[in-house]
Amino acid sequence: MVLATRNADQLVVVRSQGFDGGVNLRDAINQLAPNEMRKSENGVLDERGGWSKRLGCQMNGTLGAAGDRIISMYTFYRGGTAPQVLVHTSAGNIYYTNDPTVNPVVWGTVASGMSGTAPFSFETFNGKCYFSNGVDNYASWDGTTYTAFASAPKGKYLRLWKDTMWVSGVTALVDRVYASAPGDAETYPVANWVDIAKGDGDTITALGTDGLVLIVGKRGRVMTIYDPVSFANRVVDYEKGIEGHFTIIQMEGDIYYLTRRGIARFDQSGPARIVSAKLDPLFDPSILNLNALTRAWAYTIGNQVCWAIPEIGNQTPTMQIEYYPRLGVISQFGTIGIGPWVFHRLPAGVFTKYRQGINEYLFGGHISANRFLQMYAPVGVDDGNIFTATLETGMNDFGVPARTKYLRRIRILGRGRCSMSALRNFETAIYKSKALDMSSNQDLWSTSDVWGSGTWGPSSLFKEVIWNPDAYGRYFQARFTDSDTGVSRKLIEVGSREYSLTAGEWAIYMVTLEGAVLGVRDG
Amino acid sequence: MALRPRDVPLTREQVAAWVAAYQALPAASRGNPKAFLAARLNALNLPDTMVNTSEHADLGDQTSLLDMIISDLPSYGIGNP
Repeated sequence: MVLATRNADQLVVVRSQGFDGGVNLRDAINQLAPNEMRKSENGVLDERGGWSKRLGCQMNGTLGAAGDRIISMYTFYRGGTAPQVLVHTSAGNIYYTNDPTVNPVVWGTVASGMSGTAPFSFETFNGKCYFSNGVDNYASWDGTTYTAFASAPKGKYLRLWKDTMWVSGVTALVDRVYASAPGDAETYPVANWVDIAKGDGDTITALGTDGLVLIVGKRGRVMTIYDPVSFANRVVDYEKGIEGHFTIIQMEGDIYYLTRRGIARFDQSGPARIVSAKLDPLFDPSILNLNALTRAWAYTIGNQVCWAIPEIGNQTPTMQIEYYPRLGVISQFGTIGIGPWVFHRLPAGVFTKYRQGINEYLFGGHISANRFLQMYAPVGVDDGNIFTATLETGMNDFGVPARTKYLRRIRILGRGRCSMSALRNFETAIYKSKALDMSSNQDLWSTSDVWGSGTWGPSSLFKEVIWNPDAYGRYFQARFTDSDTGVSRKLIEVGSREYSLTAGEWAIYMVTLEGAVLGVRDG
Repeated sequence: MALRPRDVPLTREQVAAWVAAYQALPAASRGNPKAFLAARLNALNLPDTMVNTSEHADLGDQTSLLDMIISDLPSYGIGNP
């Protein structure tokens, strides 16, 4: 019922400000910045301000029996020889392939009879790949021969630092870090070890390095060894630890890792800084399986750094959080701020990046099948299955929260096909919906075409569609989603040449709302 | 003078062999593992070798090599005696 007198209509136009603020779960729904999203799943921010559905995953064959799962994997670079990809499965087998790009991949066996639950940590040194998991013997693989070193420390974690192999995670010696002889990862001097914060009740969970120091993570603290000879060490973070060895990753000069309170950026001089504050509510025992964070896995793709994390009820990663360090706001001092985050649901839990010749791929191990996947492949499905991408904005009140608005027209600039829904007044139900077709015609004219029929060349990649929703409300929220299986393209203009790259099926660049501010209504 | 940890002329491989030899002995004749290891170190002319552990927060500036080996026995798969 209308209670107040209706004022003269006030026409307003509101334009979106891009989506480079990423997901914000921390702030109340009414506090989201114009460039932030409440939901962002299976979309990438590879064009600043735009939001594009990600590419899918392609299966490159199976390994072992149907019940086997890949629990760790690694790319073994071998100088001038083609790199091998090594995978370790839940059947206790370690396989290798000389060419992970073919479909199906041909696998050979490195070793069998290994643990099927303890993932291997891998490092390459002196032309060999070394691996250890705390259960089986520390071992090497030179591309053809597997060699076990029964007397080497049987640790869960390996890290190469200062031409020395560092080992930790030996059962019953949970504070101890071992070092190999310098330049020789197969010989361990008998007293070449140090206990870090011995007897503090905590356990070493990870080893990392930024090249200058060895990072020793426990669950509640982070220490560094800064002298590889004397083992001089110190605490750098007294209140945050590292949840898992495989969560440590380096990206553009920064080391990141998973802590109990989010993703942290390592700082050699003091406590690490949490960079995932906008995802704070995610790190809750009701959402994540804290007991399985040791199985979380970090990887990079393009300019993104990502973590696959297990949700509650799952022992292996079930979703991914993706960080864009380059999209942080640059201050007047030239420093870059914290970048945006998005979510993904890729069907993989462990990853390895592979580069050979002109190719660079990200490979993954399927979380619920014995399949080897190429991630972000030029396909629109995940291993043959439809996946949905979702973008949902915050609430927009046109700057006049108390007044009802009439939403007359919405213009959407984007590409591809998706559907748009309007939500209003903080309600969860969809108020209005429309299918958007912003796909471009790629039919190129050829000499076989008949004059006057068909299409001359591709139509514009970017399309603007208009929706007249005829909607009333005080607050409006936009949701874009799809159930499409195709791919699209994006153009990269390199001077006078234009490169067309395969991209996700659809993208949203700008939403313009045209409406009128009406009077004050009750409700 | 105490040796730096990496400079101790004894490897885990050698100690692992000693441990295996010790464990292969009949239980009744094994004796104290510390004495067993001390005898092996003596045979290598390393009986009183000290290791520089000045940066080990839980150890003194120097620690005997024998004590360090004893401390690390769990990593060879046997309990700390």
